[in-house]
Amino acid sequence: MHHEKGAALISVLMVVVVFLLLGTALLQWTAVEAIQVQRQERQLQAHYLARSGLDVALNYVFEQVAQGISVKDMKLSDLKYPVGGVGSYEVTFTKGSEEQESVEIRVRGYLTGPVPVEETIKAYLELPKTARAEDIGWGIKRAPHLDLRFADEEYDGLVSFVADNQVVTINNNRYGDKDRGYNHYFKAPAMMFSSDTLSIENGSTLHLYTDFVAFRTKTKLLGSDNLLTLNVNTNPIIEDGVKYGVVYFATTLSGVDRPGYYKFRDGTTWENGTLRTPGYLIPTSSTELPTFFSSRIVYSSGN
Amino acid sequence: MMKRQQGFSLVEVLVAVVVLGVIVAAFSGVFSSSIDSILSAGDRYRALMEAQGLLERVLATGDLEGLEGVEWEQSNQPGYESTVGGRLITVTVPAGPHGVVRLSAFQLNSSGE
Repeated sequence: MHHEKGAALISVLMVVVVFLLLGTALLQWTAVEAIQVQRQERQLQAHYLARSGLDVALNYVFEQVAQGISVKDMKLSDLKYPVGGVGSYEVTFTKGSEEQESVEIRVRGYLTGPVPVEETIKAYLELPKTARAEDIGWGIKRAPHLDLRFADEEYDGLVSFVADNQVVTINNNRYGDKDRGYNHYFKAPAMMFSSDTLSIENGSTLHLYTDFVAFRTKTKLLGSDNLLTLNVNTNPIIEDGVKYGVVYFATTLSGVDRPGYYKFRDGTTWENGTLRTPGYLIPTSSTELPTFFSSRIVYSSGN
Repeated sequence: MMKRQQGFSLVEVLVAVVVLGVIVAAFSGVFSSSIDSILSAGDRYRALMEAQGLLERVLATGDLEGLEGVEWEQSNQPGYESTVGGRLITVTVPAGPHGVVRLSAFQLNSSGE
């Protein structure tokens, strides 16, 4: 049968066509897979660049919070910096309304190259509401000093102790309660003393229950029998079962050799002007600050 | 009545084998490189996941001593009033015989400055 001649070749060609189709599919799959993995790798790197930027941005905000600067007055210029030859990040801040005391941080991680990649993450910060001590009944404003009395109530935000004449005095003044001696107790997650001078005088005691406190003042422990204690509040750092808060000193003091941030152990005490609990103050940096405010950060990813 | 079933002639078979051989030879390179590439993509993906896990662990715990593939160097980034000290952490995980996966992140120091 003449017309069946060459059938083997046709069969072979059909097999070849099938293989060619399979081969093309395999090649396509391979290419897609390789590109996908490479892209994923670069996207992940861009994500970590964004995370790096967020770390810096949070610190940028919290350092200002620690200086008693409200959102309205915060310096929030955009940050755009490279990270060790890997890529770069770009941070943009958006302030919330004045009542909200909030900041939205948006960070983009960039990776340059033939195919640039970027990843965006966002964080929303609900900052602690700030109140002046005298406005919440913690201090009585008297010229020429801000004389403090003990406070029975807690405050859930940041309390600012500031006097118009720049002197905050803790004294055994007439507001002391005989039953409690001249002990003054204050409790809030964050506090700052932002006058020029804080004086604890004449047998007064000042007990602060707080996770973060900034003495942005010259701190004087005057007279005899004065006592200052730092105790943690509700959100301490816990390391090896020991509770710590963070304290900022703008000036030196007994036990504080250089101005800056320190971790304080629960129960750090100065008595008669001298640190009575050596080893309770550990030099640290402002980078511990986000720990205290972490509960107020809401993260999200994408644009 | 009986029809003799005709098979392929020797020439036909030889030609077919030669054609098939040439085509298979031509494509064998493509197939083997495809398979290599698929395997290496798989290796890379596994290495990527491992690197991510390792980096997340380091970022969460701040603990990077004695971890294989983890390197770091002191680095500073511009901060609010001055630069902020931190470290540039780089995680390197081998991805099969075809190289490595590397991820880096900057993290502020958790203590000291």
